[in-house]
Amino acid sequence: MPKIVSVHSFRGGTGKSNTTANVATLLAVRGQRVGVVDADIASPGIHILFGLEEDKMGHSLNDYLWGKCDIQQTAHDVTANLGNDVKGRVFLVPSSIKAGEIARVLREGYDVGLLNDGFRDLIQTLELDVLMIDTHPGLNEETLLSIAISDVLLIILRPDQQDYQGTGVTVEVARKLSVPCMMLVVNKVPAAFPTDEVRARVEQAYHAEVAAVLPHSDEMMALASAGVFVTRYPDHPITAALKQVAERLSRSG
Amino acid sequence: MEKGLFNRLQGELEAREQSEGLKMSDLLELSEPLSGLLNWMMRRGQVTFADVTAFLGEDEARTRTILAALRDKGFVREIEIRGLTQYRVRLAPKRGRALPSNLWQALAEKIENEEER
Ligand SMILES: Nc1ncnc2c1ncn2[C@@H]1O[C@H](COP(=O)(O)OP(=O)(O)OP(=O)(O)O)[C@@H](O)[C@H]1O
Ligand SMILES: [Mg+2]
Repeated sequence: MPKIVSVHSFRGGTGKSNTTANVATLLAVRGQRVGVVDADIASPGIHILFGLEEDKMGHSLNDYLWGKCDIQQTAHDVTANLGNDVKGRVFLVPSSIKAGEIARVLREGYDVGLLNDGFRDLIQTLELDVLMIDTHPGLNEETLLSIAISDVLLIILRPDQQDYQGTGVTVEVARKLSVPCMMLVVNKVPAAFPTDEVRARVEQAYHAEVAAVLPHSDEMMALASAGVFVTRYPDHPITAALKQVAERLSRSG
Repeated sequence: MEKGLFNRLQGELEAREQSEGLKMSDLLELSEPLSGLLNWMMRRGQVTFADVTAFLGEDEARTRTILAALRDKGFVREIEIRGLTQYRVRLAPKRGRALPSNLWQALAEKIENEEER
């Protein structure tokens, strides 16, 4: 099992947060202790999927970066929100959703070394099997850090020319940073596109493994990040494909 | 490593400005085995001199030279843990972003309101 899985996309809105939440949940269903960090400090959101309400958020990643608390104090056990099938645990480290706190971290910056230490501390103190890092799109300092220290990098892209080009940049950066394992997830694929062809083309373009090709889904759109898809649609083809990603991750590293 | 490579690495480090820490862009620019060494140290948190010697596969004198150069450029620092010297990557702090001042002003007021609540 890899220790650190970073989930990235060059462009926004590809499905990083939904993929992270779903794969984290499926790993926990398999009995793993999973940490999820919302490293999208500028536009956080994955807490919504896990049903963590703003007034219950307590400490956030921002508080840790400002030296107000230890990293363990920012970890929220959200397992209870994921149904009864979860044998493992999911701990979420949210980023602050308060406008003023987002502004402050953007204005003042933060200690990148502390962020790096925080990832490792979380793994140790919560005895995590895996830590998943949900990132801001594009390449900024915390995103590059999370790529650099990842054992597996999961890159999400849509079948879109802008995504294709941007993904090329990420793949190049990840290779330069010697990320041990890189996998692609093609998301929001129109029903009319032949899955096998999409997979083959993407694999050929980046010389990297495609872990899943996920169709565009009205059910996913309708859920609108209000929950973790795999817990609501256990028999959906997307759930089956995401299970393969979880299984693939468990086998790697 | 060959003497030529070792000299080139030394030259590469000497040519760099002294910094307030390693940025991810530095990591992308530096050549092997320097970038690999720093990346490995980042993942490990802290490492001993013996760890670095083993990682580089170099003798102590050369390891010492490389670590000293990395320290002089601000990329690595030494710490004492239980009497043992350890080496850590020193990551550069992320700088704040400039926004038009009236925008910061509006946001600062918002922060105060949130803090009062
Ligand atoms: N396979 C899919 N079919 C339909 N809608 C999807 C699918 N995957 C994700 N979505 C929707 O796309 C939107 C963006 O998803 P998500 O927030 O996970 O992306 P993101 O990459 O994290 O975005 P950001 O870059 O803003 O962080 C959400 O409304 C989500 O419900
Ligand atoms: Mg997101």
